[in-house]
Amino acid sequence: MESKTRRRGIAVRILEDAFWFRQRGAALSYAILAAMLLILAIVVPQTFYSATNLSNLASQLAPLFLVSLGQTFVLLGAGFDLSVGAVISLSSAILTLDLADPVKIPLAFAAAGSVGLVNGWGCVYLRVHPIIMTLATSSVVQGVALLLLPTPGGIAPRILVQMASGTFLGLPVGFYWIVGASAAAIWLVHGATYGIRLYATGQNPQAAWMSGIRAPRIRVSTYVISALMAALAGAYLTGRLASGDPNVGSALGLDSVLGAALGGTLLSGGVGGPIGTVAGVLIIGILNNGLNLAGVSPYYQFIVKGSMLVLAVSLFRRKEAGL
Amino acid sequence: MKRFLLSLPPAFWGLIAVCVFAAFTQPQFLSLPFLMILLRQAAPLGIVALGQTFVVANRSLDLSVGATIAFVNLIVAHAMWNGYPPAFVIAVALCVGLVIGLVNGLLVTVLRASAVVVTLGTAAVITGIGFLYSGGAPGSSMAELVKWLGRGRIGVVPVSGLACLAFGILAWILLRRLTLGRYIFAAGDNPSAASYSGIPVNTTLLLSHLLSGLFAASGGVLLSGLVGVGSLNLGADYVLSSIAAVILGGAVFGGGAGSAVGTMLGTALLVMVLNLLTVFGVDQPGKLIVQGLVIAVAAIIYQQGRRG
Amino acid sequence: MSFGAVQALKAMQLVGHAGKVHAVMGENGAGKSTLMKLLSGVYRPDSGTIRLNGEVMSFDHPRDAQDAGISTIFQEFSLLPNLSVAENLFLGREVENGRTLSAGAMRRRTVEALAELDLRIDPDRRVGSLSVGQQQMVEIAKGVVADASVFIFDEPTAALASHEVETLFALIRRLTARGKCVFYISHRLSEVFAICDDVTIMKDGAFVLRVPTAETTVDEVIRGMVGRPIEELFESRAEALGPILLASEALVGERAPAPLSLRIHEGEIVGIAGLEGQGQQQLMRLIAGFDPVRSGTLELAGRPIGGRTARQRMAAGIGFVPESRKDDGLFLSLDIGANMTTAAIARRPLLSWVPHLGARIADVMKRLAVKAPDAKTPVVDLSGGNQQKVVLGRWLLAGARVLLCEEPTRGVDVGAKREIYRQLREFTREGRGILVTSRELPELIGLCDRLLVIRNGAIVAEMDARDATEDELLRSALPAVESEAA
Repeated sequence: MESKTRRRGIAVRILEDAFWFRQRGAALSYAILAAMLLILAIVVPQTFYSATNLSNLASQLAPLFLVSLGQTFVLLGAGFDLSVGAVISLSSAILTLDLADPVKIPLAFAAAGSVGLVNGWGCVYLRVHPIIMTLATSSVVQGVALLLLPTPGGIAPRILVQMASGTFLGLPVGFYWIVGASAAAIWLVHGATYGIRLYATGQNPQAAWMSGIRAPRIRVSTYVISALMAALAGAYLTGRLASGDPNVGSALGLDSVLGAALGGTLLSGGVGGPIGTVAGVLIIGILNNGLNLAGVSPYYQFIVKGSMLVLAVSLFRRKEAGL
Repeated sequence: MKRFLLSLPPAFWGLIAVCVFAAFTQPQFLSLPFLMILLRQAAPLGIVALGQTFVVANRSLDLSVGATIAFVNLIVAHAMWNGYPPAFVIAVALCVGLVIGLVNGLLVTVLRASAVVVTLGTAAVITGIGFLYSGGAPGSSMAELVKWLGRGRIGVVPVSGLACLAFGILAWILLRRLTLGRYIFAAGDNPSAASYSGIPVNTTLLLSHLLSGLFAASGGVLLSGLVGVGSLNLGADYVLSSIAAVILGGAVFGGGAGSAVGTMLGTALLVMVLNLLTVFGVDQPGKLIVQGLVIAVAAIIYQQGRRG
Repeated sequence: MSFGAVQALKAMQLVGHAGKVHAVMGENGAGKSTLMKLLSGVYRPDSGTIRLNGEVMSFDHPRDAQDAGISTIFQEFSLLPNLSVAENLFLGREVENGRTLSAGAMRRRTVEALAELDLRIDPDRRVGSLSVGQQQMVEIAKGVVADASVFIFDEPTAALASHEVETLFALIRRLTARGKCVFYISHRLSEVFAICDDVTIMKDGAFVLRVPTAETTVDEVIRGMVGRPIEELFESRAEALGPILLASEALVGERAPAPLSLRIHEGEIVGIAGLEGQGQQQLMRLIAGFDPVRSGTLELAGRPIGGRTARQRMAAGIGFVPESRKDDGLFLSLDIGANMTTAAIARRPLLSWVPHLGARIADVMKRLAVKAPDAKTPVVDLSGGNQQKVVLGRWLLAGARVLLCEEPTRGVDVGAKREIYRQLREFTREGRGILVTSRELPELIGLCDRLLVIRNGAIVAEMDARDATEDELLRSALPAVESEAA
């Protein structure tokens, strides 16, 4: 008995959380990632491991990192957010409105936060199925984005352009967005009280509520986090393109689920986490990048991506069939 | 009686409300010729949504219907079929739908993977294969039979409307009168209890996906005929619309509920609302907003009704 | 307290003292659970007051009751399987350092709390890897960590084996020795008399009687609850047994390695007795066909059952009633008719017409006395006892000849138990047979004709239920070393 009692420092805890307690799948994701890096090192070493390519990769992957990390929170809380793509588009549309920067930047995040609140309210308090609720809001939000900005264009706030392009201390800025968002998400899930309550809520909302956790609020908060992360991704994309696009997010919505799922986060809630998502997003990004470098037709990339999605869910299988 | 009224789908009340509203504001909207135009337009969606009903009642989902429609469209418009009888081409298209349904069903039952992710994945794969098949340039050599199915009329009644009705009756029989329907509702309500009762849960789910694939392909043939040419992106919005129709028709996510009649009413409501918006000069963004609101409101109302 | 049009509790009074164990008894639907949920803040009362140490309390949320010092150990544990013991103990009241978790402090206090209860559980273990008994101990430790003064136990022994019950009792005595007030809800009279100082009886949501256990008898308590002495609980046994109905010879499954040989006669109820988790589940599932057969034979009415799958066994006439009605038995959003016909139509071709079973359903409903207006009533509206009848009716309708019945009366009150015993006996008429498992030995002795004792997955003893005693059963159920020591 005594021999078993050992102190669990925060580093140990994160490792245990990541690879055994709650994210059993993450180890597998990292193994796949390592295998891919190894293959690339053998097949296309010069092109893949070049500074230009890696910094391109960081800039391209930053938005996917943001939304996938946001989606991870929703999935951990046993929800599902299909509206992130539309929210990215909405924030891009708002950020290129003909308004002063100090007005439209807060406005974009407030709008995204409200979408998150509506999603959470509908799924949690009105008990509508998350897929239906977020499909419905994504339709509405996409409509609003198109009303505000019917065609790509507009001028992005200068501060965003600066924050989303170029390099800082020799590294591409996208890299800092990735590291910042990942660190914040990992701390929130594994370091803060919020994380334990989120896992508890995702596994069994009733039991969590009985333990005095305000489970409904936690679940709503995941949708708000996801929407805010999507708005952040929209801000980054708008800054990088230096203009708005009302359809910029459409592809990212599904990719966010793919990133989280490839990282071992289960769609049934309470299992997984941002550490795995980091690996999941890297797998997607490096695969796309590798296929491009190898000169594979974009048509085949569709097929590869779809197969990966199926592969991801079959690696982390569940007990029951269905949704 | 009260039980009966409560069991009516949200679409029933919505349809009454929309008809009353149209009667006062746009009476010509309810004229027979216009309704027949609506019917022709609604028929492909109706068939796709009927297929979606099977999987939703079975506690699953099919997000690959849009890609299936697009792929079927590329097939029936492809020049390689020029020498073949049109019926054969249609049969090939329907078989493709069955194969897609089979793959979805196998992945969902054998791998026990989430249907949301699986069907998203197969949708991407189908889209990729479609691009490869058409070489990025869809053909336009569509058989007259296909066009007739999509646009033709018998008297005043559109052929596609009759086809939709036939599929509706087929779905109604499958869900309400055949053993399969009982299995679907039981497995959708409680898969564990269903297997303890000896119901072949996996076969049932597989068949639901098979039917969804077949119905989606059939809807795809009609839609292709209506459009008349091949197009790379046909049917993309049918994923959302078919789910919307099923929800409006009273199905509840998580299974155990849903009906063929409800789905037909749901389709009718959706198509009427969207066309009414066109009449009032509302554009695509406005339609997206209204469509989203309609789905949300229907889902919320029905959910509240079930709780009480 | 009222739910919609139904008033669940009226004029109920309950008093508890520090350092004492108070039993709360009553039939299912008598309002025990509602009362406990009021005390623990899950529900809010419409009128009346809760006083703790003389102070009037008002709870809006379970958290409020916990903060006031009331800890409830519900039947369905509120523990999270993927969190560690320490994390579970502090769930909802985490120790923070700024906004960051202070894992060290929580872990130290966990060790203290576990030591206080004299529990040997690793605070870093994942709760999902603990046994049911250990999980309950963790649940109790949760109250200790929260410094509760009142502990409420809701059917605490429902999922425990006999030796775990002893550990639980020792724990409860330790709590009362520290001046805690304990409420103990249970259907099991023997436990109430063993551990409780007094007993409060309720019926139909109202107060009936409160007496010290030392001054009352089992019969008086039962009369207070149902007005019926104990002998009448069980039906008369089978008078003459028919020929052998089900016979297995050296049957071995993937998960049930010990060769199983048993016989069930027509008209017979055979009980499987044993300590918790000795292989009862595996045995039932092996016969039901959920566990692939490795070797051995299984015969029904003299004919070998060739089928390997559960569906083929069911088609041959073996019905299975799993333990959890809600999770594995019922289709809650479907009506009685649909619930009853699932097994009867399960072997029909997928594309065949649904047969008209209306008359037969009505017949079975009448025979089993299902209390519902018609077959179109949703099962979610039925009481637990009536839901169980629907599940039994499913197999009558399907023409099953042997019923495998797991824990038929778990979490059911005395009155409904009697109904279920009657239905089970009714089922055995017309040459059918039943194999039943139960954690309650008196139930097995009273209900069955013959008993088999299972230990470590193997049948170790067989006895006629007429002569069996609890003592004798327990002796053969205990592991060899312990029984020698006893």
